[in-house]
Order: sequence, then C-alpha cells, then structure tokens
Amino acid sequence: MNNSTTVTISAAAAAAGAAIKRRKKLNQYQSLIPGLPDDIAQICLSHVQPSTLYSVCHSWRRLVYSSSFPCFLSVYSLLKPSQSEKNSVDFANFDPVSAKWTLLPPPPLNPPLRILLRHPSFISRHLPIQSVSVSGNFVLLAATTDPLLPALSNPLVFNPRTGKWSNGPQLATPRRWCAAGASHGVVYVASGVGSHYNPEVARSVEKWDMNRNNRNHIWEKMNCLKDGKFSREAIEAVGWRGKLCMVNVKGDAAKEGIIYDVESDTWQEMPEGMLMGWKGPAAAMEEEIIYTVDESKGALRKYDHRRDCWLDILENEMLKGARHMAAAGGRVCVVSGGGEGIVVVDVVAELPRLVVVETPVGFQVLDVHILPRISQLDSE
Amino acid sequence: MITLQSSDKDVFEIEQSILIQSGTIKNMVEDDFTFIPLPSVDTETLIKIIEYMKKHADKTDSKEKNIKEFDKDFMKKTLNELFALVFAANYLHISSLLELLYPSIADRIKDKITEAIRQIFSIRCDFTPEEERRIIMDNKWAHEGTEIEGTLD
Repeated sequence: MNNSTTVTISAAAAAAGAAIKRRKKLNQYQSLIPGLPDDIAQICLSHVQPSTLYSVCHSWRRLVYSSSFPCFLSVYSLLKPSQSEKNSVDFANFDPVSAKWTLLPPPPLNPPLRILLRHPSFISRHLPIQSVSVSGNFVLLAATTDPLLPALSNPLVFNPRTGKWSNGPQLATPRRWCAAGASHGVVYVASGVGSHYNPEVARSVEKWDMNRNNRNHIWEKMNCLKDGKFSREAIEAVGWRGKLCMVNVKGDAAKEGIIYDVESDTWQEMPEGMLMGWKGPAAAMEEEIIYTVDESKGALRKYDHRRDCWLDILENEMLKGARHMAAAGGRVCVVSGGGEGIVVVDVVAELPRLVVVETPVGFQVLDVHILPRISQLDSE
Repeated sequence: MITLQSSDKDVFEIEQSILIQSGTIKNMVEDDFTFIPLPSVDTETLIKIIEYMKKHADKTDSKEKNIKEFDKDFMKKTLNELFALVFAANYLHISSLLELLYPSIADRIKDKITEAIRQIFSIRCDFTPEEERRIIMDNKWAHEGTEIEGTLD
C-alpha cells in the first residue's frame, strides 16, 4: 500500500518536472540570428546555400524546409529491388540537403500500376519506362505491362509542390515506348509502339500543353514524321532552344538524328557534328545547353551550337555505360546501365567536380530527374 | 530642408530631395513634418544612412560605376555595424540599401564551416551528439569526390 502511494507521488513529480523542462525549452527559443528580427534574418539566410544552413541548428534547418525559403532542387528516380526478379518499381526522392532517400507514394490507381520490366523476349535489358520533367513536374508517359501491352493510357503527373499525383489527358494510342520530350512546358509524344506496331502511329506526333490553366487538357496532333525509323526504341527527345532533338538508336552505334522545330511544326535533319558526338544519353540544362555522355568513353560533353561540335567537360570511369541523365541547377546527374549509384557533376564550378550519390541498399536506379524538393507542411 | 534627430539627440539638416529615398521619411514629409525624431537610430548609424542616401540621390548614368564602387566599399563594415544598418534601413524603408545589406550579411555565412558560423553569430548548437555525427558524415553533397551513403528512410 505504502509502495503504491510512493510510486504515485513520484510519477506526479516526474510529470511536473517534465512540464517545467518543456516550458524552459520554449523559453530558450533562440532567434534565427541573435541581434536581428526573424523576418530580416529569414531574408538574409535565403541567400545562403541550404546545405550550409542545414548543419547549423534546428531553427535554421526548419527554415530550409519552410515555404518562405526558396525551393531547392532534388533528385527523383524510379527504383527497382536489385536482387529480386519481381516486377516492382518504386518512385523515390533523394534530398541532397539531408542526404536522405524517401519512398514516394505510388500513383493512386485502381487497379494499381503494374509495370513489366523483364520479358523473355528482351533478355539483356529492362523494358523501357519513359518519363519527362516538365515545369517542375514528373510526368510518367510510357511503359509495358503484362502481357506486353501499354501500361498507361494517359500520363501520370507527380507534382512535388503538392506531393500528389494527377492524371493527364488520354492518348488516342497508348504507347509501350515512344519518342518523348518537352519544350517550354509542352509535352511531346512521337512515334513508338502501342500494343502492336502500326505505321501510322510510328509516324505520329502529338503534343499536350501543360501550361494551360483551364480544364481542357488534350493531345493535339502535329505534323507527322516522314517514316517510322524512330519507332524502334524508347527515345528521349531533348528540349533545347525551342526545338526537340533526338537520335533513333541508343549508345555508340550508327544512328540517325532529327530535330523538331516547335514554332514551325517542322522536322529537320540534325547537324552532322551534333549527330556524330551523340553517343549516349543526353539532357539539356534549362533547355539552353545540351550535355551528353559518351557511354563507351565515360566522357561528359556539352554542345557548342555555333561551331557544331561537342566540348569535353570531364572523363571518368564511373560515367561509362551511362544510360540516363538529367541536367538542372548547375548539376548533371548520370545513371549507368547497372543502376548502381548516381554520378553528379557540378558543371558550374570553376573546375567541374564529381560526387556519387549511392542508391539505397538493395535497390537499382532506373532513371533520374532533377525537380524541386517535395514541399512539406510547416508542421514544426 | 528637413531635420532628423538621432536617438542620441544629435540633429542633422538634410535636403528633402535626398531624404525621400526613405519611404518612412517620405510619408512624414508628405504630412508636412520638417522635424523628424528617429528614436531607434543612433547617431553613428544615422550618419552612415545619410552618407548612403546622399551618394544615391544623384543617379545619372555617369555616376553609376561610381555608385557601384561606393556600395562595395560601404558594405565593408563589421557585422554589428551591418546589423545596425539593416535595422535602420528596415525602419526607414530604404529598399535599395536593404537589397544591398541582405546578401552582404549572407556573405558572412557562405563558405564558412558550421562551427565558425555558430561562433560568429552566437548561435547555440541544439543538435544531439547523434545528430551531429550524422551531419558530419552525410552533408558532403557539395564537396568533391566523396561517396554519400544513402539509406532508405
């Protein structure tokens, strides 16, 4: 009896002690920059790199993730478990400031999206999954589902600002793969293959203007391609200076190149220098500068359109076998066929330098995009 | 001519045309005030503010390079002086001076290591030892040639 009373009193005392401690902690609130009002401090700190602010103290860290702080860029990738032969694909985000990978919610589809990655007819590689970054959104456009049918009849859009998925307009012919790209907020889908090869589809070109605020989102037909030469593979059409540039075969093999001019809705031949140097994945930084990786040499290059040639930036073993890349905010991210690690090159520093972001243990990276960080609710 | 009085009770007579760069003073002048007490700005800071406004009053093209040089030198002050200036410029609504001060204060933070930042700005580190360890290991995104460990959270 005595014991239980003693215990009760101690518990009450402990609770009171904890309450006092909490109050003390709140009173120990420190201003962002001692000596300055917080609203002025916030503006000053917004001029500093988030990674610098992240390590100083909790309040500076919270500021980095608040809605009043300029949104920094982060990496988005589709991941696949490396050991398993299962066809499971996860969508994940790497936050470079906290150096953390987070799994993102899958598209809320019923039945859920089932993407086929491997099929006996395509032994050596994964079936393509195609996505495009458009105006700060991740747009999933084409993939395969069992039994070798298009997985998506309309694009699925992930908006980091809301953290939510939405549906794009239905495609008249859903694709298992196609030539996909974006220019100034407009998505283009050309050629490719639907449930089976169709010569009309192989020459078709359609666009979806994501800039439109009204609800009338549709795919509009544009001028066709001359032939179906661009239907063989999943092709990335790189948006650059009001044009879309693409080649019809991946890697270091002989290929054809073509350029679509958005304003005139016409197709032109790709300049020879540009074509000769396009030997791997390519991506454009802010649609102004095109970068490519020569996958056999592991060489990162950028295109000089005045002289129609590619300029070397750096060469590194880790860039060999490059399959996908993205370019934004002064960084070029490259993923190789093995899917182990994402190579990040800082191309704006005086001496370009390289960092490797390791993929989460047990996973392979299938592609890479650079988009604004996920907006978090100001919960703190 | 308008008379400004600092918190130290020193007075300064300045032309209206120069002082209207301050939104606060402009409003008071429009309400016909000719004597403006500034209880939150001390003499030292007020002298600097007046110096800034005098230089920026004449914005003809030929003076532009001159003004840029002045601005660069003007920001070469101690952190405490910059803080006093940003307080005053904020109160007086001098937007061009504020636009100059914000990045200048930020420059005192950039490219410094974490511990140096905390010392310079008198910021208490409130991370647990475990959190501190994680920061040192993880935050290498901007640094060259190092692998960053990634675990799925």
